[in-house]
Amino acid sequence: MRLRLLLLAAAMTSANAFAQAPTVRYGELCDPCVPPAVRKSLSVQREPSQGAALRAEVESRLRGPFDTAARDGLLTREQAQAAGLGFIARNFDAIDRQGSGAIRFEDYKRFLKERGAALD
Amino acid sequence: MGATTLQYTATAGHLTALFPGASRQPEASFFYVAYTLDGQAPSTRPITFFYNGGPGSASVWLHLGSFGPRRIATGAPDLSGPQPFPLVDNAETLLDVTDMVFVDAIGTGYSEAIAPQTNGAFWGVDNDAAVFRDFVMRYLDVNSRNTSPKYLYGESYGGPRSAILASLLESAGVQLAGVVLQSPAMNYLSNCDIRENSTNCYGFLPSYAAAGAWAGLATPSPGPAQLPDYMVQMRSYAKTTYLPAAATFLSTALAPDALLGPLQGFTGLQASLWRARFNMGPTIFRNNLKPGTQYGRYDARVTGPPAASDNDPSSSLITPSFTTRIGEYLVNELRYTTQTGYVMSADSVGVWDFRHGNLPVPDSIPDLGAALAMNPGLKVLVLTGYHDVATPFLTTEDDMARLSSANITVRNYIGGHMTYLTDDSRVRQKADLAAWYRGTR
Repeated sequence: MRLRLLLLAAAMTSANAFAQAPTVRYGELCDPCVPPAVRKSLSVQREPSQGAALRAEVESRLRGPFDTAARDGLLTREQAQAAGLGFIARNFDAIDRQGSGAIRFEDYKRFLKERGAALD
Repeated sequence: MGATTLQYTATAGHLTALFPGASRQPEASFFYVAYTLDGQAPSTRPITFFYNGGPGSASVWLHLGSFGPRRIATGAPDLSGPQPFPLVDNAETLLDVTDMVFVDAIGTGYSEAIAPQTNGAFWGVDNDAAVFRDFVMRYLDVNSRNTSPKYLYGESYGGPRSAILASLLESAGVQLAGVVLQSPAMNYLSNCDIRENSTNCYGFLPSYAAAGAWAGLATPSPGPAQLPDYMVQMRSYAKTTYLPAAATFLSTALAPDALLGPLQGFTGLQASLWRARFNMGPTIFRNNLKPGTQYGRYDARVTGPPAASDNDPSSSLITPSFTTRIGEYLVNELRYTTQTGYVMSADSVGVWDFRHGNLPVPDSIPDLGAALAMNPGLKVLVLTGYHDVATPFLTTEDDMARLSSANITVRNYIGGHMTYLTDDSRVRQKADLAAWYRGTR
């Protein structure tokens, strides 16, 4: 094994080269856990979404960032890029079938479905 | 590793995650330890990011317990050996398959927010996943790994973190090859340990039967070799017989007499307790299976003397060793020293913002669905332990089944939450992981 320290690490150790083991802060792991206040808020029965309801949730996960980046429902490649939506930016030409320079969520969804996405 | 010696480089240090967008402002300083196999082409060599969960846990359990080049030999489920448990070379390291980056969540390990940000700003489901995305993207950029096949490996709360992170990475244009989910808590609303009064506990029943069998208190009590076949039967009993009865109990508080005897037989837990607490959560089970004994939550094969009801002997018996060994390992083997302590566990769970997607706690199955929608080639491997009563395998299987995706593979092992601590299971798990990684290429 060879050792390589990052510059930052080297800088941090220079004043204190290879001193004793630092104290490790002890803590008991509880995973998954929620605090009592959150636990109390969960009394409502909710069955896990399945089928069409789940697909609608998947779609809303995809729609959220799209709508945030779009203006009046239309998204340009530049807007996608600026919002960090690299997947849409990279596939923009394939999504923008009409070559209009701006896409709607329905264009994006159709593109995903054509590639095999399980969306309604 | 067996007869082979792997030459590798260990890199310990910090890397700054940057806010996305034009500003590229520093966001947080992540501590990580990376293991890269020498003499490989970085552009084609697989790379996997590992993290535990909690939320609030350092990634020390995966780092020093699972598939890194060095591991702590706990002897699980027999944790009676001298402590601290020894740190040994890991014959099952994944380093022959993938480079590995073990990264600590903000506020754990040595990872911290960069002012004016605070650690607390990242203590929420969405912000945590977003800052992990920014770390992964920075790591790939700085280390010229953007063309490497990329994988995530998350445990427990690291499961929902992985699903959301996978969706965020795909959306950002970072295509993943695969996601490994170790005993994941994908949907907090399907786990009756989190809300026993309203979630059906059927998903725990086969795990209780496995625990009762290991303890020799159940009828039947099959050995490990027969357990997988027996668990097929118990899944069926749990879903067709116990589930509807538990649903009735949740709405009427009436336990059906006819099932109390069979449930005592299957699990070893007294019929009177089944009558009183028919929708049986794991805390009651592990504190009452046998008088004078407390069974483990992460690994119900592990026992200890009676203690506080929320104590977990399978955690409290290994935590001191992991705490000691990570401190020694970073300084003595990796030569990484700082003036502050390595934080095993942040006090973040009490203030964590669990809200996600219009729910008060995360259901990350839709996020995994979104990642699969953007990347139909994404493969998902789910690893579960039969004796885990924190994230029981049947609950996890049913969580994953919601997506009806052929890309998802589930494997079960003898053992608890950290299946890799059990020697035989770690060997099997390594073989399964190696085959799965090959299948994702």
